[in-house]
Amino acid sequence: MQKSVADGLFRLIKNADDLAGAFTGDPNANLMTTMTRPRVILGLHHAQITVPASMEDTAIQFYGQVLGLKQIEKPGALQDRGGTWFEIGGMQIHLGVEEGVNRRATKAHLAYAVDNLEYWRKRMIENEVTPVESIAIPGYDRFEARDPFGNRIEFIQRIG
Amino acid sequence: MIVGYNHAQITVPPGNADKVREFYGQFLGLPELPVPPALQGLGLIWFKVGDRELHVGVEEGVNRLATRAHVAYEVDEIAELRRRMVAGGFELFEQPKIQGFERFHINDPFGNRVEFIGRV
Repeated sequence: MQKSVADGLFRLIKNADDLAGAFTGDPNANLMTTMTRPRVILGLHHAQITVPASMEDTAIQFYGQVLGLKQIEKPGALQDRGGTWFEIGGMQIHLGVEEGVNRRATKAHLAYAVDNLEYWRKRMIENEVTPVESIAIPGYDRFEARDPFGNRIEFIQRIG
Repeated sequence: MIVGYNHAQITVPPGNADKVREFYGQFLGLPELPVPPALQGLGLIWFKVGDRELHVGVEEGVNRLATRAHVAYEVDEIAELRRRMVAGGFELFEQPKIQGFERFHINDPFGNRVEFIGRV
């Protein structure tokens, strides 16, 4: 019953969009119908950050030892391309190498969910990374920082 | 310990809220999330990505094409997405094949590199 209602609704929406396309002459109207179909994006798969080549070893040490992420083997096809992959909560972080990027110029960042924010605050200070307080948001404690290569990082813990 | 990602934040130039919603909301189909009141007024737009989040912030003077840094999204029908991206006028960049996966990347309308990866 529910399925047939959903199918009917989908047909209705599709027809409405077909009509919209016909009436407006907008070739994108039909396109948008398929583009808004749900469940295409399942989730994050990985994020890639980059560091200067001269700092690659330090970066592998920082993300592997200081952050404690588990290094994973790259697929054979990619092994001669450089870069190091880590596992993070069922997803991945890829560490690539590139020159000439001012990483401090952007607020773009990755936020890591942690279960002990104070531990991470201390651990960052011990590793010469300076925690900066973020605007407080309800339900979370958090701080941000720059990794030793200039990439912005955030640590965030759910509270309450 | 680090449990996983909470979110990834990318940035776009100011004045692009409509375009952000069109691309990440309508085009990619990510549901928009409310931004907490404490962060409103900063131009942030948040989306749900699986059980994590994508935060889109605003900033000027960044050459987003200068870096290979990116966020990769796992998709369920990569061939279909590929067709839609072409139909939407995006240039597709192919990458070396990984066994068991199909993938490509594009630049979003603001120059952020975006990878799509699907199991095949």
